[in-house]
Amino acid sequence: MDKKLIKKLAKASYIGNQIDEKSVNRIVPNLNRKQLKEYIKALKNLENKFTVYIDYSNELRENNKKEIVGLFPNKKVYFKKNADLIMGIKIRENDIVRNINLKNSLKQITEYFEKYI
Amino acid sequence: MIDSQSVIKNLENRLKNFSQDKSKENIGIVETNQDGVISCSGLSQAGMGEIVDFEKGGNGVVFNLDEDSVSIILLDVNLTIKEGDIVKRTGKILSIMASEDLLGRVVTPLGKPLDGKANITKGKEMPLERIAAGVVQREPVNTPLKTGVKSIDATIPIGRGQRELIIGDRGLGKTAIAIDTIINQRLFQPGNKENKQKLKPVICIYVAIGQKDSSIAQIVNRLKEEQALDYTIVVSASSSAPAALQYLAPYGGSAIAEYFMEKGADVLIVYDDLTKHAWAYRQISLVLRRPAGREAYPGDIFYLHSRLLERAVRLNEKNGGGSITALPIIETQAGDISAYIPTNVISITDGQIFLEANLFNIGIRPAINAGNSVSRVGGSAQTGAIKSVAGKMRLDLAQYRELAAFAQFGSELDPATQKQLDRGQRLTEILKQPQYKPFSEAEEILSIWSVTSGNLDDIPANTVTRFETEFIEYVRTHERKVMDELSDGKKLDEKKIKMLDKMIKDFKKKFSI
Repeated sequence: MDKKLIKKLAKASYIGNQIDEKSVNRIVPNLNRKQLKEYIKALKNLENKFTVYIDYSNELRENNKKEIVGLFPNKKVYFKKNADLIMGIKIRENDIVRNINLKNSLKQITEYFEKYI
Repeated sequence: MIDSQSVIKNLENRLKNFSQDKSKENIGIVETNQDGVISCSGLSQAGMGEIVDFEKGGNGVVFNLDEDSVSIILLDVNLTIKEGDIVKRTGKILSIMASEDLLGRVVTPLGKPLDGKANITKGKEMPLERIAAGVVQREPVNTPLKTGVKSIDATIPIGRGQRELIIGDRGLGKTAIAIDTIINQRLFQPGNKENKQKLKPVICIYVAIGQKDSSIAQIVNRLKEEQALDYTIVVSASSSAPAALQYLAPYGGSAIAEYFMEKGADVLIVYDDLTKHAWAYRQISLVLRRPAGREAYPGDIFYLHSRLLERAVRLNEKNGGGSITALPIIETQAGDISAYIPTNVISITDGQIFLEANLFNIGIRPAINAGNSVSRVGGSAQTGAIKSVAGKMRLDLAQYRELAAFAQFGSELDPATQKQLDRGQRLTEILKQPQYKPFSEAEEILSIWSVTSGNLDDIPANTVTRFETEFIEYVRTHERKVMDELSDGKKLDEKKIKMLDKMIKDFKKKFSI
């Protein structure tokens, strides 16, 4: 069984953006150790594609949270408090990170000054 | 002194250019770290050859783009990188800050100083990888690049913009020829009165790939002693540097050379050596699991060197008239020039200087094999003066070596053959030259003419070298004007030949065998 087929199996293990436990239980016993590793990797990749992580510094209101969730249809959104950001939020969607927070702004200003001034 | 108002104004101007547009980042997560090659998931927007930053410090270059992962080669030795670490895109490609400040410096292929002096912060960012100048921008090689090595300038002349390979086994003096050539360029530096032909000054770049740090230090010291470091830049990726840096070193040197060439300067670049460069690339390719071909080199090993050497060029006047002359060095094993890398580079370059162990061992130094050495385009760059004295010397020399090998069997020889052997013996003697003693064109003409004109036929072969030294000294002290006339590069006419004839006859009377 090659990588492409394992990726197909991983895709087939999903119903919408939710993993289907029954399918997983049916697939796993048929895989050897190496194939199982590839399968888990593929599942993780898919899980990343379907998930968005939101870090926030100050408590968000419910309507703000709803607004944010609405920005990412068909994706699971997880919220986590992170005081390090000082102010603002950080959104991680698969391999794209959006830093809309004071910590990042300060970091950029410092980098700019170190480089050019 | 700058007042505080202007400082604030300057800062305000700089802040105008500051934009906070780095809120979006493309990241990856380290999955494996094998021998300096990192495999990452994510980084879906990364491009080939892009620099990436590791959150824990250090950076690398994207070298492979796969469906779900990206392979990165590390640009520094970083042992702290482990699984789960975050990598970020920078959007930049590999480049080096090039400026006049680099002259006299020893730097890494990415421009970091290795000589303990200040960082190079000002200049132009030159990309390491670049497409070579096109056909329309070029012109044929027509200006000589004087090496100061008699046998090369006479028999295998090199022109500015040429690519001439120096090939031979280890320890035969390949680097010595390259260093002598660099040292000889001091003759053409601004203000030198010996530059009668008004040739443009040459900026030299010495790229050390996979060499011992001690050897590089020796070379730097020698260049300093000979006052050659002022117009030379040393790009060093020693054997202790990561394979990635060794692979990038010649491209870094080439990027610096292009900076000066764009300004209209003539540049000489020495790649010492491309065998180790190929080894470094092979190492990277094998760790990246690219398919291995002949001698385990990857399939694009030819392109690796051809795209590098194609950047050696002579630009036409419309494009500034600058040039890059490349002297790549290749180390052979047991004189085998038919191995994979030597044949590749021979076919790419415009000729080769082949050094032979047998010649070296019998005391012929530089140990250049005239039969296997060739310069395909340099002839048109040779001055009339050298051409008129050297003529068919390369052919004569090659014929002599063949004849000498045959004559060893010891049968009686006819007078014509014997004469050819005697002349060849003196020719061989006159082409011997100690290291770090480059000859000016006038000295070369005097030496070579004295043999090819038959004036040394009555001088014993073992005293030819002494005769040459004393004759040149005699001309220098007694006939200074003649030295100046010989330096003009013009063909030797009847008048000059008569003058030389008279001079050598006068000197012979004083010369004691």
